[in-house]
Amino acid sequence: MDTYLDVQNLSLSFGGLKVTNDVSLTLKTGSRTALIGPNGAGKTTLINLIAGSYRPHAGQIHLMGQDVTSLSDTERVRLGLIRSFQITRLFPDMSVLDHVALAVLQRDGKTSGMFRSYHGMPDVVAEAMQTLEKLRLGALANHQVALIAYGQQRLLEIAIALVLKPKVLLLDEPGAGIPSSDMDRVVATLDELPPDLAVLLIDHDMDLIRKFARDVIVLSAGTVIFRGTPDKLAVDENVRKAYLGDEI
Amino acid sequence: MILFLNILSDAFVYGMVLFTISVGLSLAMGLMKIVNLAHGAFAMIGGYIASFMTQEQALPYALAVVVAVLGAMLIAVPLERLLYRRIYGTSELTQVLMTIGITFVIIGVANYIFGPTLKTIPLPETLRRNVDLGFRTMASHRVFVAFCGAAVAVGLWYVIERTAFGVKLRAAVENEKIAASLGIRTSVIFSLSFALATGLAAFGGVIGAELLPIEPYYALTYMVMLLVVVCVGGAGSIGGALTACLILGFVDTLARYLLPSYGAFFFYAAVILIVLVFPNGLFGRKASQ
Amino acid sequence: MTLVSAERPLVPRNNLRDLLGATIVLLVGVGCYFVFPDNLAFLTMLLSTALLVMSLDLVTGVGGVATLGHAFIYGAGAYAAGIASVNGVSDPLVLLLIGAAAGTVAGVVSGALILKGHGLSQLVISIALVQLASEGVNKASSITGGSDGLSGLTIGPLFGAFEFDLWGRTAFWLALAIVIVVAIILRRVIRSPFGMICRGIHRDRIRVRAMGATIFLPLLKMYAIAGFVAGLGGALQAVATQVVGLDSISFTTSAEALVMLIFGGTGSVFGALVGTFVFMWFEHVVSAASPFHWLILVGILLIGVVLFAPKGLYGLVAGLLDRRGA
Repeated sequence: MDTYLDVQNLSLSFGGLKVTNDVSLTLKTGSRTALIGPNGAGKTTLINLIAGSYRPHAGQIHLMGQDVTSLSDTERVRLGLIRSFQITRLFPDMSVLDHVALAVLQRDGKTSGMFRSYHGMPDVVAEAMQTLEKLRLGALANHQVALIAYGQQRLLEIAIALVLKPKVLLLDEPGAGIPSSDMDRVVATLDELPPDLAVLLIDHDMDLIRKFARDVIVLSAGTVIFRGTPDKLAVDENVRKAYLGDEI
Repeated sequence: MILFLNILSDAFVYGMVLFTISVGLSLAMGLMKIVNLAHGAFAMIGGYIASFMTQEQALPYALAVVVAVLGAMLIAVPLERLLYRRIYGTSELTQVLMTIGITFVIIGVANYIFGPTLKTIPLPETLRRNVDLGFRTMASHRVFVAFCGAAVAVGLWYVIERTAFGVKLRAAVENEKIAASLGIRTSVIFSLSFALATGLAAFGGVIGAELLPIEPYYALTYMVMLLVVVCVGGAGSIGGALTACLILGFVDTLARYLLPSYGAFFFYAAVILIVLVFPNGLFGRKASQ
Repeated sequence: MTLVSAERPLVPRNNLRDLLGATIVLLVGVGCYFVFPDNLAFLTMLLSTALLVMSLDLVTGVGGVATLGHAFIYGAGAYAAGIASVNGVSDPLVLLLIGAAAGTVAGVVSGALILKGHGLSQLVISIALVQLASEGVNKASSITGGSDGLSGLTIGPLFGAFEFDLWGRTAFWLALAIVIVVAIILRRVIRSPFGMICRGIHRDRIRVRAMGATIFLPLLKMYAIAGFVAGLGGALQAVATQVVGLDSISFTTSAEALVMLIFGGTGSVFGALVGTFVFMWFEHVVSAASPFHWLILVGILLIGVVLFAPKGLYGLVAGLLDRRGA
């Protein structure tokens, strides 16, 4: 099995506060790893470091064997390291199809075209629609993003991430803000992710994690305090302390 | 050497006038995150009121200054409640447009009421004398202005660092939401700060009237300068505003002495250079991600 | 609730809107020609300003750059054409091309500097740039005529046949044709993949980066295109009026262009046309009476637009059309 993502001894401090403390993790082909931890543990910070939005003070990141530590976030995207956002980041006045089509165009380096709208490029439209159909967003293709339900916006985030053909996918709370009645769509989508894709998932929903994750990493105050399978998680002493405090 | 001291002393006075007018803008921008292009218009309003009071109403200078400052604040507060409040948190462009609109209205009204000619504010006897500084003589009015600027700097520092109002102000600047949740009434702080900023602008407009003459287009003429000061000094920083005003005052005065016909050209070139090198100002905080 | 119609495909609908808009502009232009035959100079000035405002729409409306220095580019085109004319170039199309080229260079320079800033610093750099250019042009009076400007430009006949006469007919038709063609081209550019990236950068840079696209280069390219258009507009003004003055490269012109753009509505190019048309006609009529009353009126309208009609006149109309599924 290939090592898709190799993170070694990553550290970052803001002021005097160590927000990421010597964190290491590895994702292999087909990994389904959950990253959990109490609020403020530094999970999103870690995602930002891996994705390239933040620069670490120490440590290295290798993607498919290539050292990407000094590469920018956009360069990492082009190498297949894709992330989604905890709070949806979309373009409110563009349509659902626009977003996915733009991602396709950007992926294939076709964004310098100045005279034809992508609607005149049938391959692009077909691939974008296909991805939308997979997430059951096809009917909303021409709807303005600002006007669709939040749950559907979260799914669109995932659609964009998928169409960028990720090798490593970092999902930051894909189910956040979605009412539990709509969660089954998200769960189904996660089930149907390509099997050789390496996925790191942040979430708080323990049901989702038990269904989805084969490995769990627990982060507390920037430090990894547990690595293992979900069933071993429940009985781990350190994890209980981190979540419930030392008194219990 | 004497020339250099002359330049320095003139630059210092000019810088102090600029500081008095612009420090309020810097604080308002740092606190309310609003690009207020109408700030110079309030300085102008102060000048007009003082001119009217001394010329038409024969008020003594000191009293006219007080009336001008209060008058400008009285105009500013309803504007803040009615208009400025609606653009907190909006894009720079929106704020630019709204405040340009306010500026245009103020200029038009000023011209309508006072006419297009330059207005003077007759100085009291004490400020018309000359003071011997050793290397030169300087109009006592200019020395007065310099002192006022310094007093404003010290006074503001005291208010912000040492009073309860200042603590609340700093909290609201740091993080408005947390400050509000701590019971600090941020809307009141905003109104008071805006009034303070405008009052300072008006004060600067009055005492600086000899250097920055009062006429309807004053608000536009110095708009650029004020923005540059806040940009270079960093919004929200008194020290930054002071440093920026002194530096810019120096560059401008130097250019006027040495290259009188090219002054403005080199001034703007210097501005571009400084802003490119210090995008957050000399003392500004880095914008969050 | 506004739903982009899901039944009718978007491409034909957008092409239809382009044609409709172009036809309306043509009809209005022809109408003005016959209704106001003595005002052709003013109308041509209006059209060349429209090019400036469309150019600003690219940078501000589409790209989201806050600038009060766009007249630098317009003035660069005007002066380039003017100086070339004074030095012997008389073919109007060549002069227009020279202006457009100068504008492109000025656009790239503007972009390179202005895009380095964010928010207030961006605004300040843009203002300093136009002031710098204005001062520079003023001082280089041997080439530019200084505060007197350049005058008495001799313009040869268009296509060798159509003289630029005192009534300004040739200039008017040339200007109208250019504006219509440019408007349609720019609308297509905005809808293109390149345009979408720029629009995305305006809305959310971080999302754009998360798709793997950089920020600086697309915006700089947009500045180059905007530069071509604004330079063309400046050159057109020089060719049509046969004078070039300092006001073409002033902060005031930049501010007025922004006001016109906001009145009409950003991001649609047609909004820029509507805003220019309405604003300049009003100014023509009201400002002659009293410049300061005009200023108050503009100020109140600006405040009103910001508070009540942020999408501008065209934006309101387009919103209505969308709702009716046109």
